[in-house]
Amino acid sequence: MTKPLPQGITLGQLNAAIAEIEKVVGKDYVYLDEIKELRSYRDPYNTTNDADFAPSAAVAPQNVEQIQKILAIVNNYKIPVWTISTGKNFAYGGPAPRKPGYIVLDLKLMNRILEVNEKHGYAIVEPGVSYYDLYNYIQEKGLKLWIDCAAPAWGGIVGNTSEHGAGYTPYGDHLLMQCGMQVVLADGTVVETGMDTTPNSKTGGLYKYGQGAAIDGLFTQSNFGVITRMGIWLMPEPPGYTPFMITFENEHDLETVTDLSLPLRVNQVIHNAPMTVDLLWESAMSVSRSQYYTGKGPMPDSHRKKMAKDLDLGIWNYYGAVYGPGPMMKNNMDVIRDTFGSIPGAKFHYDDTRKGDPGWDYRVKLMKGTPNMTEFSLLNWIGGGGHINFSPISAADGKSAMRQYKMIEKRAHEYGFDYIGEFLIGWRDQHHIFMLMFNRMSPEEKKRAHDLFAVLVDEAAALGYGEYRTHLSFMDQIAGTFSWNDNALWDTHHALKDELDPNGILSPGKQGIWPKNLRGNS
Amino acid sequence: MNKHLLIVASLLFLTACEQQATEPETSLESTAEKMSAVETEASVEPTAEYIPSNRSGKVIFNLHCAGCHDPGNAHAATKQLALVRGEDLAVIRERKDLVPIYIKHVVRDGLLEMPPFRPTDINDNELDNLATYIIDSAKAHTPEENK
Repeated sequence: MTKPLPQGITLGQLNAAIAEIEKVVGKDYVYLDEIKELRSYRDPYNTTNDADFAPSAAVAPQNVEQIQKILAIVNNYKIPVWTISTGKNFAYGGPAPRKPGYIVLDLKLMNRILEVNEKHGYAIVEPGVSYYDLYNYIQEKGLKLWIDCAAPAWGGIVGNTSEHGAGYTPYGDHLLMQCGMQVVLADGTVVETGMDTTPNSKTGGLYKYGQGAAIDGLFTQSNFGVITRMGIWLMPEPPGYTPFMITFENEHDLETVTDLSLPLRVNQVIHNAPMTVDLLWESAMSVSRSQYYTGKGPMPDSHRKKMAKDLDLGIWNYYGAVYGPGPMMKNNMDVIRDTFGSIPGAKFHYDDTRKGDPGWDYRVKLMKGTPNMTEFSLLNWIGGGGHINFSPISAADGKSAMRQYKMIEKRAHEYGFDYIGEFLIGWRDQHHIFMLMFNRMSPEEKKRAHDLFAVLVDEAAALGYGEYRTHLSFMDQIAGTFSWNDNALWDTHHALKDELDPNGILSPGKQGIWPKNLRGNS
Repeated sequence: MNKHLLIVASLLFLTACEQQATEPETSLESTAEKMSAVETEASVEPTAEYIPSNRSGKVIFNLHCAGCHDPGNAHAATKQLALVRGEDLAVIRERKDLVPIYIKHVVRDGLLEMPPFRPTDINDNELDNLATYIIDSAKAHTPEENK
C-alpha cells in the first residue's frame, strides 16, 4: 500500500520527521500501520473515498511539552498535523484529516479532569475527556452538578465545544458555557485566555473575557492553535425537572409550533433548547425503515402515517423541559400547555405514558445531561450506517422554518433519500439538522448523497442560509458562501493564519481556512 | 489589517509571558500545574514517563461498547443485530459464535453502522482484555430457556 503523503512532502522527509517524533513520545504512541492502526483514523461514513482523507501517521502526545516538541519538528519539515481530541465528530468527518498524508495529532491520551468546582459549577478538562468520563467522575464523587452532553455522548467537551456543538439542557450552547482555555500556538507558545492570564488567578473558570480582546473563539472551528485545556460551566442539579413531548399531526404545524416557541424560549418559560423532531428521526429510535417500507426512494406518505399511528408519534414531535422548584415548573407548564394546546391535534406526552419508549427515554436523559448512545439508532434506519449532516441555521420563525424544511425535503426526495431532520431552537435561531442517511457499502448511493449535499449548500445559500458546521468534503464550498464584501471574513481568517502559523502546519483546510502555501490548491 | 494582526500578535505574546500557576482553593481536585512556555527545540528523549493504561475488559466494554451493545431496544447495535441476524445473535456478550480475532478486527476496522476505535481509545492490551471479557461473558451466559 502506498503511503499517503502531504502535498509537496517526500517519503524521506515524512519518515525523518516521524523518527524525530518517535523520540519525543515513544514509538508506542506513533501509529503507522495502515491496517491495524491507521484505518481507525478514517471517517467510515464519508461520501467519497477513504483515500481522500487517509493520514500518513497518527501521534498521541501525553502533555503540552510533547505537543510543543512535535510542532517544532513539523515546523522544520513543514508537514501538516490534523488535531483531534476524542475524534468522534462523525457526520462531519470523525477523526480523519482534510487531506491525505497529514499526521493526526490525537489528543485522546490527554484525558485528565483537572478540576471540578461544585460551588461555582465548572470543570476544567483536557481534550481527551469524554462526556462519559466527566459524567462518571461527577457521579463517583456525588457532586450535585449536571453536564450537558452531545448525542451521542461518546464525544468530548473540548472537541464538541470547539466545533460549536449543542446540547439539550439549559447549558446547551456549549461555546457560550466555555470559560477559559489553554492553547499551544504553532510556534510552541502556550497561551492562557481570560482570567487565568493574571498572576495567582482564582477566577479562570468564572469569568470568560478577561481584559482586552476575547480571543477564545479564534481557536474554535479553526486552525490557529492546539487547544490543550478548557473550562466549561456545569449546571447545578435543579430541585426538579419536567420533560415533555408534544406531538403534532400535520406537516404545516411546523410553522405555528416555531412561532409559538420563540417567545417561550427567549423569555425562558422553556428553559432548554426545544427541539422539533420529524417523524422519521423519532421513529428510527424504535424501528428500521425496512419494517415499514422496502421499496426504493423516500418512504411514501401512506407508510409514514401508519408508522406514526403505530408508534403514537406526530409528523412533528416537540421536546422541551422545565427545571426548578415545583411551583415554578407548574406555572411554566401551564403556560406551555395553554400555548401549544391551541394547535388542533396537539397531544402532550410525559413520563407516565412514554417511559420505556427508546425515543422518549433518550431525550429525557439528554435534557438532564445523562450520556447515552441511543441516537446512534439513526444509523439503523436504512442500514449500512453512512450519514452526513447538512446543518443550516434558520431564524426561529415559522415561515423561515417551513421554507427551509420544504427546500431540503424536496431535494432529498428528488435524489431518492428520506428527509430525516430536527430543528433545535438555540435562542433566536434554529439549528436545522438534516441527517442524510445512505448505505456506505453502495458507491452509487454515496455519490448520490454527495451530489445532493453539494446542491443543498448552494440552494440554501441562494435563500440566505449558511451552515453552522460541516463535513470535511464541504468545508471549502461552505466557506465560499460566507463571502460578503468580497470574502472579507475569509481574508481575515487567512491573514490570521499566515501570521500565527506561517509554515501552515496546523490542520490546513479546517473549515476552509488554508495556509498561504496551500491556498488555491484545495 | 496589519494593525489588527499586530494587536492580536502582541496580545498573544503578552498573555504567554504573564501566565502563572494558580492555587485552586475551592476545587475538589487540585489542578495540575499549568504549563508555561518552554523551549520548542526537539528533544532526543521522551519528555515524560507515560504509563499505558490497562483497563479491564469490563471497564472498556462499559465505556465504549455498552451504549450500543447492551441488551434492550435503547441500544442501537443490539436492535440492529436483532433485526438482521435474529434475537439469538443480538447481544454480543451472550454470543457463543464470536472469536477474539474477529472481535478485535471489528473494533479496529468498524463494521457497517459501527465506526472503528483508535488505539488511543482502546490500546492493544485493552483490546485483548475486551475480547476476553466478551468471550468469557458469553461462556457464562445461560440462555433464558435453559434457566
